Amino acid sequence: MTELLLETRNLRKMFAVSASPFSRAKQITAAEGINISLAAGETLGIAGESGCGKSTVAKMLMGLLPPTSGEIIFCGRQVSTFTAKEQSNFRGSVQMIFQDPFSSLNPRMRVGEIIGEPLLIHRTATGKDLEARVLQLMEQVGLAPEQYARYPHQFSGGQRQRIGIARALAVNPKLLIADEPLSALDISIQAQIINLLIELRKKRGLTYILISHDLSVIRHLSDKTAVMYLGRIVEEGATADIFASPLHPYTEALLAAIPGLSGKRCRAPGKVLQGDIPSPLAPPSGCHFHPRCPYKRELCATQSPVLEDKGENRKAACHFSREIFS
Amino acid sequence: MTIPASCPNRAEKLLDVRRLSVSFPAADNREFHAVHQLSFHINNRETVAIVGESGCGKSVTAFSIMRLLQKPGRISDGEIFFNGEDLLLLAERDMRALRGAAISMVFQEPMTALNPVLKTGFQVTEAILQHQSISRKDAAAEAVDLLAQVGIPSPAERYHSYPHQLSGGMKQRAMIAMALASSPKLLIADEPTTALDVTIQAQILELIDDLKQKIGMSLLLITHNLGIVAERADRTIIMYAGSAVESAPTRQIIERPQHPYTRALLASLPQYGIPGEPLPVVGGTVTAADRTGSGCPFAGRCPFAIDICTHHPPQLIEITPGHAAACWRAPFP
Repeated sequence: MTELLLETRNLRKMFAVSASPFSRAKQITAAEGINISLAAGETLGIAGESGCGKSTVAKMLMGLLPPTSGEIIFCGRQVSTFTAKEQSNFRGSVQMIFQDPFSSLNPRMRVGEIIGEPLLIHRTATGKDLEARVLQLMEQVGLAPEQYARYPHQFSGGQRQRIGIARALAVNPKLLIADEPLSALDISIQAQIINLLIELRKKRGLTYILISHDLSVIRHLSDKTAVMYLGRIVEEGATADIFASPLHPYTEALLAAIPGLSGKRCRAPGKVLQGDIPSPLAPPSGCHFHPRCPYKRELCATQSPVLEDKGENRKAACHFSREIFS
Repeated sequence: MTIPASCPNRAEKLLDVRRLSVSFPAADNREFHAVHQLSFHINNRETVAIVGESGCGKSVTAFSIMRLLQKPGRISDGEIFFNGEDLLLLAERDMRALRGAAISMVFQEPMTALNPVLKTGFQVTEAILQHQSISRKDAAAEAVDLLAQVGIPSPAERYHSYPHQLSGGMKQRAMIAMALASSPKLLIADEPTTALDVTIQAQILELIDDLKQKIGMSLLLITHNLGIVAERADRTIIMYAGSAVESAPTRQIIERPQHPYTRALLASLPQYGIPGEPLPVVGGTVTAADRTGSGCPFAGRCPFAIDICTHHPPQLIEITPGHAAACWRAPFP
């Protein structure tokens, strides 16, 4: 077995929210039972709609949010036991690319400073060295050297995303977490960034966690996929398997909702998933998906299914997946 | 509200946009053409899609049809015929009677398009009162009815909800209820599902389609998503830098694209790629719709560009019946 770069055990995050300043705070579960494992060089795609907890998971992995319970294991060691020095190294090894290339770059800093800042923080380069490193990074992501002294507003969305990627790569991370890296970009620019991510993965042997609501992007880039719904992973497995034959009704619905180019609607009228995504403040009983599930039975409303092995390295959290998808 | 029996299905042009140009003042007293000599039409009951990337002029086109173009933008040339009448010659008063009645619009951001301090139902009621002389009470009852028609559960209670109490999909449904309050002949939907989750997106598109059949209206769908277009539109117009570069029945555009830009757009979709392999991309970035240079606006990024492309702008001409492309190199096999 190859060594795991990252593993989580029963990761859980609760938030306290109150409806008004006078009411008692209520606990909501943003993510629970998150078990993921990722070998070096692998790409994990996390798919799901808004409120499913995918960004919460990303923030916990980044160390930006402390998990309420559970463990993150990085290179075989528990992150919670890291010393300050190790903590700082860990922060360098895990970097993030953000969704919005407009708000994630400081408008008052020049591109060179933006890309160079992580190098200064982690004290890996200074002075002339720093400039040379930054120029090298800019070249790697397809930015021209003469753009070194420009400000973010002088760049298009695609180029800004390249700046964000260069900044993330500055400290030679092992793991790159990309939270919806393409959704703010035009189609022709999306393809350019996808290609850049593929190229960097090949050249640097990077491990990615790709968070997206766009399943076609996940299919294109990731080896493994986890589908999340309302804070839980509902299906997990090799990307090719999941796309070929989903084992959870929600995955099936997500796949059916992507408008295909064939023009044939892959869904009969009425096959569109009904209802809204429930609020995490009042999650449905039993299986969280049951109010919208076309296959629901009595058991689903009372008992919450666990993410269990369905054979062939696949997992799904559905009581009846064998019967539904046989 | 009762939806009137469908209007006769004539293959007549409901909307006919001819040589529309929209310009904005730019530096040095020059003009920036956001839309340049754009012509297209929509027949009765037809769904036409305008597809393009940001800055290609698709939204400016929609706002021009509604005559809601923000200053200092101005329509510098062209005609927009709606039901045989040139909208650009109408007095503002007459236009206001038409807007929201015969032509309605659904916007991209349901979060910002609704007034946050007014109850959702009240806003729908206002839309009804704008165009019908009925009592406020009747209008309110009609509003509840409309909310039910667009699939909002327990509409009588939702009537009293403020926009922030509704989910994104519900807000978009409320917006659609307002747009359909007066059974328009033409609905302009400007990226109606871009801000929504995929499963909700499918619901909203399905809803618009259903209502379109019921009311018998035409639909102008503005989007960047070729998948949506493939499923919903009868004809598609591809815009680049303010001009239509290709126009054809949707199936033909997807199966036999004739303009290098359309071909590049389709090829760069991950749906067509081999997982893990680089996608074919168009180099460079979208050029601004600035028409100061001569020649084809796509020439700089086009892998097929030849000498003439940089000197003379190609016209949108029919290659096969119904399929037009603005390219010197077309037809492509």
